[in-house]
Formats: sequence, C-alpha cells, structure tokens
Amino acid sequence: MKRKALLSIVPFIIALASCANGGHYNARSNPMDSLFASGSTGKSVFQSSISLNSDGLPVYEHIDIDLTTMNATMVFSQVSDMINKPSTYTSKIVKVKGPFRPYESTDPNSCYPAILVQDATACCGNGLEFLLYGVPRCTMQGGNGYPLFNEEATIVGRFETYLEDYSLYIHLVDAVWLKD
Amino acid sequence: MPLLSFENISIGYDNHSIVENLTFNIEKGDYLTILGENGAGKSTLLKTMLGLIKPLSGKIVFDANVRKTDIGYLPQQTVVQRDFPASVWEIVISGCLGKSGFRPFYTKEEKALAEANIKKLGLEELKNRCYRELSGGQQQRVLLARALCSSDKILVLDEPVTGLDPKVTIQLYDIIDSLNKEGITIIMISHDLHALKHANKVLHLGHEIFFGKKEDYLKSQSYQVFMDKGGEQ
Amino acid sequence: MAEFFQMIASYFEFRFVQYAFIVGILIALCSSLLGVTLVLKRFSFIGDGLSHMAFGAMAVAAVVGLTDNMIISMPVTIGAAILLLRSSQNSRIKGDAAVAMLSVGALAMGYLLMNLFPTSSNVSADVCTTLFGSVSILTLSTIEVWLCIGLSIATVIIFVLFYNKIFAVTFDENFARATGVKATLYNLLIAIITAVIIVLAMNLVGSLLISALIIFPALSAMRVFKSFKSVTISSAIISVFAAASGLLLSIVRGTPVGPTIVAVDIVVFFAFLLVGFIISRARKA
Repeated sequence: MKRKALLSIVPFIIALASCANGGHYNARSNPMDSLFASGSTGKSVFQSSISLNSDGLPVYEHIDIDLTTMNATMVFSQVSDMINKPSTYTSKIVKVKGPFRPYESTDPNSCYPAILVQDATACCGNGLEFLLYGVPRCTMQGGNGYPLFNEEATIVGRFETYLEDYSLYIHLVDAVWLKD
Repeated sequence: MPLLSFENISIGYDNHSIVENLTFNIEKGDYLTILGENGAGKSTLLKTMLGLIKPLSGKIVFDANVRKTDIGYLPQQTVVQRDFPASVWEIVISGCLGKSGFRPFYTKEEKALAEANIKKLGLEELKNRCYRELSGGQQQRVLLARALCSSDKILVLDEPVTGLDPKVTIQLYDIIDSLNKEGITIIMISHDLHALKHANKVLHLGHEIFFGKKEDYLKSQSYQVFMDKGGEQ
Repeated sequence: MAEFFQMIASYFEFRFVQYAFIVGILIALCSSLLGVTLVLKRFSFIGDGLSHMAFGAMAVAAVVGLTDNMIISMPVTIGAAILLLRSSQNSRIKGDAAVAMLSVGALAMGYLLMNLFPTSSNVSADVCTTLFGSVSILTLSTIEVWLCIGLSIATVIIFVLFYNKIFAVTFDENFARATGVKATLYNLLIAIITAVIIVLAMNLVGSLLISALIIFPALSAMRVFKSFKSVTISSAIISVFAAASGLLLSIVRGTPVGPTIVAVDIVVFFAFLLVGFIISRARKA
C-alpha cells in the first residue's frame, strides 16, 4: 500500500502528539479493484464542464464550501467530514487556504500537492490534495507553477475522489491558485 | 428456640483467628452489650453476624422466622459520609432497599415506613436537611432510623456513642432502650461502661471470654479487670 | 449581537455540527451522572486510568485495521474498570498502584504501537484528537454518532433504574450489603457504566481531560446543593450547559473543543464555590 508521508515536520507543542506522520487522507473505504491512477497529471478528465477566463484558467463563480472563512476548529472538522463521507461532497466547489505541503509516497519521485489543514491544538494535520489546472506535476520543493514549500496559498477547485492502490482518496481537481 | 445461636464459631481474617470456639445464644427481646478492648474481635464478630465476612469455622443459626436481612445495622461512621451530600430523608429511606430486590423505585409502604421512623426518632424537622450539617447525635439518630427501616426485629449497633458528648450519649442510650422495650432485640458493641445500664446480657471478649446475665458479669473477674483498666471512662 | 447569532445559525447548517451537539450533550449528561459517586467513593482518578487503557486499546484496534475502534476499546475498558474497582476494594494501595501501572503502561504501549505500525488511514489524527479532545466530536462517522447516542441513552436509563441502589452502595456499602443489597453486583454495574462513559467521553474531550468532565460538574454541584438527588440533577445540568456552551465557543472562536468545555466547567466550579461560600456565610450570620 502506498504510504504518503507528510515530509515536513510540524513543530509539535506536545511530544505525545502522534500526528507526526499525520495527514493521511485515505477515506475508510472497502478495497475495490484499482481503476486508473490519477493524481500525477495536471489535467482533469472533466474539463468539458468548466468555463475558462481570458488567461485560460477555470472560473468558479459560486463556492460551495469556503474554508477560508472558517476558523481552525471548523476547517479541520469540515475536512475530516470530507474524508469521512466523501460521496456527499463530490463535485462541490471548495476554497481552501493554508501552507503548501506536498506529500510523497514511497516512490521518491512522486509528489502530491496539498494544502495543510490543522486543528486548533495544532497537533493534528490533514492534507487537502489538489491538482492545478494545466500545470504539470509538482516537486517536493514546490515552484514551477505550484507554490513554494510552506508558502501560504489559496486554492479553489472541484471536489472529487480517486482510487489508488485499493484506497479511496480525495482531492480538488481543476484547481486554481488565487494569487491576490 | 433462640433468635440467633452461635455454635462453636471462630472468627478472624485470612485464617488468622481472633476468637475461637465461641458459643452463645441471643433470645428475642434481649439487650446484649458486647464489651472488650480494641482488637478483641468485637467488630469482627459483628461483621460475621451480618454476613459481611465468613466465620472461619462453626455456624450462626437463625430462628426460622428471621432472615439474614432482618438485621438492622448501625455502623460506625465512615470517612466518605463526612462530606456526603444527602438529605436525611434519602438516607433513612435507603434502609428499605435491602428487601426491594431489583425494583427500581420506593413503594408507598416504604415511604410510609421511612416517614414513621423519622417521626419515631424526632427527626421531622430535619427531614430535608443535609446529613453532613447535622450534629453527631442527630446523625446517629438518622442512621438509627435507617436501621429501623431495614428491620424491626434485630438491631446491631457498632459503638453508637463514639464522639458524642455525655448528654447526647445518655439520650441515645435512652432511645435504644425504648426501642428494646418495644420488642426489638438489641446487640451493641461498646467500650463505654454506660452501655451496661440497660443491657440484660453481656458478652465480654478478651483474654477471658464471658457470656451471661449482666448481674453475673458485674461480679465477674472480667468486669473487675475491665474496670481497673478504666474502660473508656 | 445579531451577527453573532447569524454566525451560529450558519454553523448549525453543517450536519457534523448538529451531530456534535446532539452527541456532545448526551455524553456530557452521562458523564456527570456517575461523577458524584466516583468522587465520593474516592475514585476520581479512575477516569484517567481507564481512558489511558481505552487509548491503548484504540491503538491496537487501529493497528489491526479496525475502522470502528470502539469495538475493541469498549470491552477492554470495561474489563479494566472491573479489575480496578475490584482490586481497590481489597486494598487501597494496591488499587492505586494498579491504576497507575495499567494506565501509564497502556498509554506507552499504545503510542509505541502507533509509531511502529503506522497504518495508512486517518489513524494518526484519530489518536491525536483522542488524546487532546481537539475536534473528535466534530469528526464522528455516522456509525459512531448512532453508537454514542444509543449507549448514552442506555446509560441514562440504567442509571435512573438503579439510582437508589447506587446511592445506597455509595453512601454506605457495608450497611447496604448487611441488609441484603447486592452490593457486589451494583459495584460491578458502576464499573461498567464508568467504562462506557469514559469511552464515549473520549470523543468529547479527549482521554487526557476525561477526569475533568466527570468530576467538575459533581464538585460544583456539591458546593451548593445538599441532597444526593439535587446534586445529581444539578451536576447533569451543569455538565450539559458546559458541554453545549463550550462546544459553541470552540466552533465560533476556533478553539479546541475539549479544553474549551473543561474551561467552562472550571468557571462554573468557581462560580458555585463563591455561591456556596456566600450561602454558608449568610446562614451563620
């Protein structure tokens, strides 16, 4: 099974906190036949439904779940609920703000771009994975169209689930990095 | 047939016996005072009588009309009770629980019984007061009312006057005496010689064991030795 | 002010916020019920001991890959509760040492297991909020919500049915036993209910803060109220109030749930301490 490890170590206040290897956002699903692995290309297969602006980037006029207006407790709870019950959030437009903390799997060349979401005690972190529209895969240092490692970024994208190595994961696809 | 007969009973904890081969009977209406120094086995005997611990050997035989739960008990105060938030009413009526089995709530009869015993011990005005705010003598009367709710046949009292002032002590002994005159069998532990005043029988535990009528006890060697040591006086 | 209520109303549109309130209030109600008994029986620390056991069990459940860890943590905690309450009946010191040994041991082993066998699911976040009660109540799965509701209601019903017996064995165990109350059975019942409450309460305040949830409402109520019934009822009200307002505060202000609830409990305690002091002064004067 693929293990995505949060490479960065959040400065933990209390050593007991066991979230050091936290941030896995595997929905608790039954093993199913693996479909195709997504998560490493920047292009979504659902491009037909999105409208693009003059720069060729997707435009989201209505945001279903705006995590940027919520406090730490609500953000963490909301993201946990997305992990717990992913099917209820499919196709919802989600806006999230936080430090850019990409994940890597056991494959050292892999990179899963994600925004880190922490709870109020700052002891637990969940990563919310996203794929920027039209940007090729990220590197663990960031850059090349992605934010730099640990850079605060605001991301808007459409919530989808995907299967990889028998596990169900969640991510935002056709995502845009809002730079203002 | 005696109400309670102790047949060749040995008591103690963990196979360490304190009193051996004790045989005596308690008749209906008796007022038995159990005397003895600390460690002589008074409390252990009481707990054995109540079924809280098992005798090492021998047996206690109850009269056919008496069940084990027909013994009312006035225990010594525990540390827990000192700051326990409970009203007089709650404590008195809890004496009825022994016979209620798995029935969750009190019946009308049980409430009436508790009410009657509160009245009998002159606690009407204290009924809704908090137990921990009462004086020592009042607390003992509350526990006595509770004991009466659990039984009107036998009353077992474990040093009921400990910590009470002389006036209250005499009042409490008078109450116990009047209960005895109503026909309740009294078994009382004490190391206070005043406890002998109303008793008709004495069990003295110690080096020499005495059991018999009070008159005989007052002439006995055990009493002389106990007097010399001063009892609790 | 209107804005504030609007904000609360908007948060209540979230399903997980609604669940959190229902489950949180029920758990708070349960945990306050036995508080009085545990405080008076000098078992205040049993909550800590048992919650650490539950944590260890939860870690094992997570490592072996059980999605719903209450299946393991519940029976283990009940077993530990029975063991601890029994051993402390025989000898005071042995009981104390047993609590310390089991709880610290379970905590260490649990944490070690989590690190040696990290699984790929959401486990680490589970463990973290299990310890600190940060947001667990807001991240319950549907099954956990129903399990919590069911167990809480069962606990309340059992407590009400055996309320008089629980009073009797708490106030005077020897008297109860001597007069024919099945004290051993009711002590067992108290142990089981305590364990269930602790496993439930881990969801609300986390395992490190459970003692506070159980003890503070009882201690507050005991400052002011004088009968067992009024203490029990008022500690239930205090506990529910603290849980509801703590939960609300933590959602609105973004503070961690468990510590916020306990903070409200502490404030209430000092308020009741003051009221109790004033009442006793007034009575003396």
